[in-house]
Amino acid sequence: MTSSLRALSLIALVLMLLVPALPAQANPELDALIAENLDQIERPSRRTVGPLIEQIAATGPSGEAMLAAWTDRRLGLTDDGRVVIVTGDDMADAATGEAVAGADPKMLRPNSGVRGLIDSALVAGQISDPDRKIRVQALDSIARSGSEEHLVALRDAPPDPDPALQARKERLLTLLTIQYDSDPQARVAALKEMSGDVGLDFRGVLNPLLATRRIAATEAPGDANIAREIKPGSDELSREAAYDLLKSQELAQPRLTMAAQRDILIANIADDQVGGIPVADLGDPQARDRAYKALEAAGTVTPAATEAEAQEAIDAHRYYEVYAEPNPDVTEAAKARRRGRRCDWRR
Amino acid sequence: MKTITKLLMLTGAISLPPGAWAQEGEPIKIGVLHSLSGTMAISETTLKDTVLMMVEQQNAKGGVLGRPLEAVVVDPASDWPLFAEKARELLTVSEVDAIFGCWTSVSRKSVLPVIEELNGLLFYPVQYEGEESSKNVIYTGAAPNQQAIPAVEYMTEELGVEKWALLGTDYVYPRTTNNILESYLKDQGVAAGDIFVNYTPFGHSDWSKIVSDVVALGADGKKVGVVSTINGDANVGFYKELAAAGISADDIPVMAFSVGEEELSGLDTGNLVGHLAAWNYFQTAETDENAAFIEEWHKSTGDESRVTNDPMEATMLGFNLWVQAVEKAGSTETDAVLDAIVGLEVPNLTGSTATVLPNHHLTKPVLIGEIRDDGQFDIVSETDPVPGDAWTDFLPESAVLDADWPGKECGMFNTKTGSCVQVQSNY
Repeated sequence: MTSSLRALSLIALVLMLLVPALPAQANPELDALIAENLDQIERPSRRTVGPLIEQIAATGPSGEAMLAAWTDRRLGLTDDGRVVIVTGDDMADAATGEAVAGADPKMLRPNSGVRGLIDSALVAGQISDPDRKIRVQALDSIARSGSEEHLVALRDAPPDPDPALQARKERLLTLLTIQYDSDPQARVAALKEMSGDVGLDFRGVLNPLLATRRIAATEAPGDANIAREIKPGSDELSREAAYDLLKSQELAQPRLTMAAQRDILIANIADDQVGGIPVADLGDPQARDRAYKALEAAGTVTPAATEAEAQEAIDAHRYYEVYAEPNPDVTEAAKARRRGRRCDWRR
Repeated sequence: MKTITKLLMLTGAISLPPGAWAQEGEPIKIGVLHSLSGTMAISETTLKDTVLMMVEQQNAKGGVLGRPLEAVVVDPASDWPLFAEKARELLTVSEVDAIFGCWTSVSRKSVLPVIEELNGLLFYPVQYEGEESSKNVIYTGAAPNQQAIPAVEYMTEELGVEKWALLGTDYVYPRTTNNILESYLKDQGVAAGDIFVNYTPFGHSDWSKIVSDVVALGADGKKVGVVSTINGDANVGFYKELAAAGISADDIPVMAFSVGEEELSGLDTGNLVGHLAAWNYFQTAETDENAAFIEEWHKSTGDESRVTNDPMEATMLGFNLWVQAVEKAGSTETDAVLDAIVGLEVPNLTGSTATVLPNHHLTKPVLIGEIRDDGQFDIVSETDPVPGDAWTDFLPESAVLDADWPGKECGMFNTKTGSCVQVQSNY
């Protein structure tokens, strides 16, 4: 019901714009976009359709009308490659606004991922819509997938006459400020404002701020926002895990197990020697390592770390948890909120 | 005494070439092994009706090999051991040449030893968990790579799902499917902590705790999606609880593998709008073949409101393939039909073609549908036909297995060791 109302009002708007001079109101920019992107319009994918939606929205009211029809599944494609907006029994060309008769369009059914993108593009114009239901939908859409543009749109929107919606708008504004504001102090202030809040939406914003990843380095990285240092061999970071981290950062070679080393050495026995070391001496692990090194140097085998080399490499590095969020003030404030919340909960 | 003589005569008949015994115009019998009572009757009765419709249509076209078809309908009553008994009865007493039947995996597993022992031929029309290929079964429903895996891929690509709740009813199909999915997701780089698996008994009704657990998965700001292998009426309570928690399909989409038109008909679908299902056919497919099929269905049942669904299409495909194979072989004898059937093609109802593969599965397109408020589906994604894979590539122990009946005469062939693990499918 709502969507058809919204559609009707948009159609009415387009028609009003079109009435004074019909063909002159055609939107050549939109026409060109449609012609170039028919494939994308027919089979849109969430991953790739974003830029096209923005371009269509930027062509003005007829572009927005087309988007509104698209998300409502009232957009059809005719055999001759025209995109039409279907309203009840009537059809109009999306680009020219001219009525289309006698066509049997294939109706387009964008999936909910694509519709989410379209809705999000239409949101800015809907936050201050006179219809309360449309304003609610706009806020729902922002709550699901807020962006930097939504932050700007929310900030510029006039206060909502409905106090409940205004409260919701303010909450969304605070959440988006935490995520997207370019000023770190504004983000910190917004975080403080949410003190004691346990809402799922707030936790959904807070937790990504405090997400960390582990890195290994020879000294503390100056440009990273370090959460803390962890010692290898502790409960949190076993020496094995520390070595895996080194390998993943290509700071160390894959480790050579005793068994693999033995097999490789056996395979390379020549004249009772391996890499210049007599087979009789290979009972000693250090001699095996030397033999393997000689094979590595000769290029016979791929380089791999012996046990001793691996232990050495683990001790030569330090291990840190760093925040994905680069600003330390923001992560400090977020940490305080999380702590605060836990205290509240215990009480 | 009389029975023994009769049996001896029958045994004699089996060893003779079919033409020598069968009189011209004597009916060819096929068995219909679907539950007409018990919990599965709601789904399986439709398939019995579908087979009867196909038989009637074929007889109107002059039958097969110039002989009419006769359907022998039995009722295994949703009782798994009874499925095996009824299959034996169909093959030894009624002497049918092919059986169309089974729905749940447990009923199929129950029938397998019987049809393999008696060298029968079963057409199985329902999507299932894979990890099986019998010489005596043609699987006309989807294997996991034709339903579960593409559905999850769609949720990642098109819905942006990052965190997964795999919810299922506690039996073999959901458990095997979720094992495969979990392994697949981890292959795709999803962390173990981002996968939540839960099983509930048949008919589970208290969903509040599970739904609140699923909702809480979103606390780290990641998009949550549910993959549901929940079966039967438990679905109703689950979707209701989601709606009661204020969760729409845009917030947490649910992709179901066991919810189709038949399950939705007569249900209040208001709570389900926008949620998804993955199948190889939906009634809303816009093709001439489908329009004709629906029309025939309504005519045959005399009820305009009867819906069509995926297992019905699979039943139709199996029937048409069997007819073609019998005509090609010039015989209804199981081995001759099996020799003839691999490689045969029939048109499906969505505009492409079903081909029988050497592993006794079909090529099928994967369709994703969003539930509408009228209980039908809007098709939002459709692939080209995908060849069904009996042994999944996403479990290490089954990735090395291959099924190839014409070539290797084996349904469980280890490609690493180059040997047949076992010929019978009692695994």
